[in-house]
Amino acid sequence: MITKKGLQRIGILLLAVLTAMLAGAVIILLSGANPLTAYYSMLVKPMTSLGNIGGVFIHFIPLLLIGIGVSFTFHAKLNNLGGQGQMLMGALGMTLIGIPPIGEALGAFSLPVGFLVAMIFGAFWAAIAGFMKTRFGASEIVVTLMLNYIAVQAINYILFYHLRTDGEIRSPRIVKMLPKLFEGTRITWGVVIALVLVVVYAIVMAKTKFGFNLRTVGGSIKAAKYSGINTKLYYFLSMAISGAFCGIAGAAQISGNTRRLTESTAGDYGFSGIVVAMLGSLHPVGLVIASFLMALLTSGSSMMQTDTGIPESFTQVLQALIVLFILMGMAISDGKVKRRKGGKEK
Amino acid sequence: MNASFLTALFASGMRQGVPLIYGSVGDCVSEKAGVVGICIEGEIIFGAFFSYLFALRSGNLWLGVLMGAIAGMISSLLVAAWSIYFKQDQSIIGIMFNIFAAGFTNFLNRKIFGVSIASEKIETFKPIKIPGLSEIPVIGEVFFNQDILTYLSIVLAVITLLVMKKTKLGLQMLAVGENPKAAQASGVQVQRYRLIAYMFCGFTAGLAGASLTLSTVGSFTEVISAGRGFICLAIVILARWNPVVACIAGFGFGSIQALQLRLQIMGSVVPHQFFIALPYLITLVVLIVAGHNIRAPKELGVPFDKESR
Amino acid sequence: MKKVVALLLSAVMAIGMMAGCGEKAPAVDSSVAVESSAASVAESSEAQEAEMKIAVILPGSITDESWNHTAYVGLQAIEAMGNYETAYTENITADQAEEYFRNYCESGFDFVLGHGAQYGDACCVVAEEYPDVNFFITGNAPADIPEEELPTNIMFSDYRECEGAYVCGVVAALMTESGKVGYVGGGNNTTQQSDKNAFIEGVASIDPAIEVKTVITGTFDDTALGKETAIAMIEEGVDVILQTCDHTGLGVLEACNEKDVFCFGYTTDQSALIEKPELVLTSMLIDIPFMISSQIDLIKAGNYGGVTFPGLHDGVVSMAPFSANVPAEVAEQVTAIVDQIKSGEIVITPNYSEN
Repeated sequence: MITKKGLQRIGILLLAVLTAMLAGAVIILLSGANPLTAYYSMLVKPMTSLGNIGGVFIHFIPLLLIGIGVSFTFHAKLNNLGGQGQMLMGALGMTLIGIPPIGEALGAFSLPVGFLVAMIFGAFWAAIAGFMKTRFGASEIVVTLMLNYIAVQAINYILFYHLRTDGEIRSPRIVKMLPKLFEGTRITWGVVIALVLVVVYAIVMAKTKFGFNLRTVGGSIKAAKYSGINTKLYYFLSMAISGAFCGIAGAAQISGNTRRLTESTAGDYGFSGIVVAMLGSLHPVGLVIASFLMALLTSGSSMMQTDTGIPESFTQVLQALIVLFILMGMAISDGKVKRRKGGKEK
Repeated sequence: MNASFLTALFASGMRQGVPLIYGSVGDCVSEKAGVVGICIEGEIIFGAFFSYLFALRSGNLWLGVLMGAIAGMISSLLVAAWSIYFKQDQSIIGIMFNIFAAGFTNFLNRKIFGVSIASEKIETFKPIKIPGLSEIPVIGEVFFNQDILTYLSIVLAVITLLVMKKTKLGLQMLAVGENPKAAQASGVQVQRYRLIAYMFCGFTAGLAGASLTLSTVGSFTEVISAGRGFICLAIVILARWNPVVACIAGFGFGSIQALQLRLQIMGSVVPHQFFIALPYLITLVVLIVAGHNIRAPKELGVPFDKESR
Repeated sequence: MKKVVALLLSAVMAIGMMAGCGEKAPAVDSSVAVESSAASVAESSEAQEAEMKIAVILPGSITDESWNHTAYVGLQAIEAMGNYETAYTENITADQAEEYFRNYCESGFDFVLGHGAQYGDACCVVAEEYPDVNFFITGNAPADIPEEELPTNIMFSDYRECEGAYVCGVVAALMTESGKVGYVGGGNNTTQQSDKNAFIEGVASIDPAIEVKTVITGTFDDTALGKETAIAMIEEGVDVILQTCDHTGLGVLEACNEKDVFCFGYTTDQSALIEKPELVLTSMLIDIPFMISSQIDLIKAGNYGGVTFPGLHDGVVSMAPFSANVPAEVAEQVTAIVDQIKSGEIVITPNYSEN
């Protein structure tokens, strides 16, 4: 199964991570902590108990879902920097369905309905960018970025004037939460949903005409321009589907973790999701690995902060270094750096 | 809406526009050469920190400006290494670089200044009245009674445009963004040009940071860029990669920001959230109205591999 | 080969930059919390056991000279008091809080503070799982969790910052000459909202005809925007400004300094932050060290939990000495009002509504 080349690749990647960790060790030493304990907290401890793994999966779910979402747009050679806004909108959809009185009336059905509405909300928010791209030729980079800022203010407005029950600017709690996969941990069925959706993504991209056409539009398949595909339609659809996944991420976050909507519900997942998609090379398995890695780093950096007192700024630098060095490793193992005749990558 | 109101509004718009102008002028060039400047946000932070550090320690504002710009440029080398030599996607590098920049400057800031930095202030650049021109009503106050960094930003934009349009360097830069293969074939060192584009973009982003600390705030606060780098990206596209138009767009964005503050001050029944979102909403509207058929440089964001195909 | 050299160079540069900054560092030695707690975790077995391990979860950065900085200073003061070991984490959103609460509990902390009402939910979840750990939330309990369901190991302390804002309003009304005063808020939380409303209330209690101009900037981090906001206000004729927005507020102070306009300090005595300290009429102070240490006493006494609303009366909120710009009769009048609030003659209820 594992070829010599594969082994070589894994070796190079490990070496890259090691280099990053060595560089990081300098930072940790500078901050007065012991690099070994710090790295133990960051990379090992999150996986030592089911409870700790739960913390990793809390990040894993939204990262993977947004990673899948933005992958759809990347296939069409579009950029979706609006994961944050779309996730917020999805979270809003879930919240509207989940809180009383609708949530009480629907009972357990509020979950599937909530996810559906979240999908629609997220898709709608992204579709604005898709529409502006296809109708007016407006750059989706700018539109999705602007929509992030607007979404934050829109959510703030809704929370402020319509949803809040007490003084704090936050929604009421939703009635029904996603059931736990393992009792006593933070691992919910959201993990299963996310993994199922990866499979759906894999099938759509590999087996369906839609997936084929989408890749054609993105130009990764040569036949492109001559096949008579309605490119605008595919631009629009890829954007909307991308938003739908980000919306689901929002719903999963509300129903699996935070229980209420706040302005910060989407966190930094919008951008980290792009990192996941890129690290995972848009490949389904790659996405799962990349989002687990990012989730581990996120959860681990929180443990590192609380265990060793290393401040956030250090862990930010460390996270960035690790990802950058992995990218370097990928470049080397893909032969993008070596001088070589006819590199296989485009 | 009398003249004094408009004067104050646009003067504030100009002040708020300066960092945006610096950031977007550099990005115009780098995008023309095929490099998306998602990293501007981080470079602004680097520029802001080092310009403050050197201005404070040396007591010389100009040294601060210079070091801020150089810091932005050096930090851009980090991004350039990953995107040009490792041919990795520019957006992911940009995102990680921004995180790195925020963390790294916070770390330096605390190591050097401790956690009570705000007390160490520097005298900021003072407005310079341009004789004659500053006497023109409204316009005089808005454009000809600003500090030196404001004038420099406009000069920089004009020079950049001229270099882009009229010189061999500029034309080759365009070729690198449009059709790197052809450029390579005709003997242009694509990667070298992209490196120059990166460094120029970092240089101006550093100036943007310097203008924040040295002409506005007078000290460095964490995450001082506050999303301005991303606004620059929007401005560049609105301006269709033309530095002088970017200059106007930056001024326009600053003015809308100034307007929303004043609308809030006047008091109204409209929720404040609407006003905060106003600059972004207007950007979208401008994109619809004026954004027709914007054509990006063809190879924008695509890593160049000279051996491929 | 050239490229390999180039990438090696860039890596070396990255490391070198870090090492370089280390060398510049020794002049200042400020990352105290880091060192102390790092050392203690690593060598907890040999070091003498701390009496209590205290951790604070902060919504922003400790360099903001304001809300978060006070908590940091409070923590330093606690550590200086004796056998306490402290730690903190910064920039934590409400949604990340559960993870951090849990981590601290797992690492053996006895007392974990969430510095903001937004952490109430996460704290309730974690507090049930760790009954031996005591928690503290700077803010009210979530209103839709019935009081009997609140874990008893959490103390909610919604301190009446708005009392301070009210007093600032009174001072502003007495000091303004133009009849226009201003408020700059960061937005999106209740403390901000009640500060704004109390400020307006305080102004109106002196003279309802005085206009209060308000701006919510929507950010706590944008110093440059804060400065422009204040300048816009000053150009509208405002001559006294209250700001309650951390980094953004620093910009407001800067503008006041430049334009010679009166302003107030927020949570710490901020008069030292500008070159003309006498422009800062007074500051509303929040005594976090006192708040934390009084909790420690309660914990030791075994009498912990519930919801409290400390304010001027309890000394948690207080006013800094007036600047030289405040005439004696104004100072007297304000002091009388402060006393009336302390004695309960004037009651200021937090008002969370907009307008």
